[in-house]
Amino acid sequence: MEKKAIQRLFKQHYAKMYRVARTILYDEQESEDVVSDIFESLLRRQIVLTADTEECYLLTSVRNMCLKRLRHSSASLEGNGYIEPIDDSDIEDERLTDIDEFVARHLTEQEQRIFRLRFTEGCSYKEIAAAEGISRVAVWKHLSHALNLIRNHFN
Amino acid sequence: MQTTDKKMFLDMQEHPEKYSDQQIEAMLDELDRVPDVESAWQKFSAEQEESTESTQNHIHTSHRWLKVAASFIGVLLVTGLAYAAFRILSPAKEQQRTEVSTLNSQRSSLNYSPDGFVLFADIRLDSMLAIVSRHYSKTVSFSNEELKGLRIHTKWNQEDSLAAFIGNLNELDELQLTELRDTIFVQKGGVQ
Repeated sequence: MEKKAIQRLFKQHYAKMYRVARTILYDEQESEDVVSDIFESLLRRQIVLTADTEECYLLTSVRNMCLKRLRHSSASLEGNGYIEPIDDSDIEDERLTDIDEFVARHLTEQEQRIFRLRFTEGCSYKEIAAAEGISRVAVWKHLSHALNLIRNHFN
Repeated sequence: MQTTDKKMFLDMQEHPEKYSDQQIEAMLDELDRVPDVESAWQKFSAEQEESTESTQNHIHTSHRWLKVAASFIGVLLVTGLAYAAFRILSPAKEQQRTEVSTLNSQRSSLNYSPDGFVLFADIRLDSMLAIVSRHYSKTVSFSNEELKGLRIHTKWNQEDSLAAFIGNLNELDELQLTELRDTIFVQKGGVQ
């Protein structure tokens, strides 16, 4: 993809992508790295993105990359010395699909909305609070509850 | 962000009841902070120029290659697949104009990457086949107009044979592609 096209995508979507990464990784530098890596890959690959789906594509990339990082850091913390194979894309995608299915089945409608606004659409807590008519702290508590359910189920 | 902050945030997420609303608000201020996009772009842009110069000089550090490899993996992750894994969404006629326009602008810059891969991200079937068929010097014939609007998300290795590409698409129940002389025939799956 050409640099000019990357520049437009970067300026248009960076903030949301960064926000999603922060929600998953917390770490500022790691979040910046994830987003940069995605744009770097776009520069180096021949990718056809369409205007109507580019945001979804980029935010999904962030979620995938963050999950991958978390999984790798978890593996290294266990200290088992196991180096995972490079092409583990199927695992990440299956995991995302499993999480989506879990969300649809086990979260309340409000939790589902909040979860999607944050992770799929990259909205800020302030924006979600306004959309739901509740406080930011309440949004955080709903999201924490949802994430704890997901974590307990998949761990 | 410091490690201790990260630990606290994780703990806050697992046990929000242990923290006051004020503490949570302070953390949310941090998470909602709008990044300086312009600075981030300048930094990214500078790093890419550095990388390009380095490549031109054939000075590649192992770290750089690892980073490129990592980003490559990142793209593959989104494709969601081995070859046979495609995502099909319902046709969206109202989106056709935008997409075709975008594609037209991209066709002129459709440079074949050295390793021969192209990623089609959620693209109409007719748009994708227009690109692929040109590569193999074929024309495309649809038996059903609705099939044109199917949305596909997949990876194409340009070095693969057309038969291999068609074989992968035919893994989908919804589609049956056949190559006959200079034409790729597209019909609904299960139709004989």
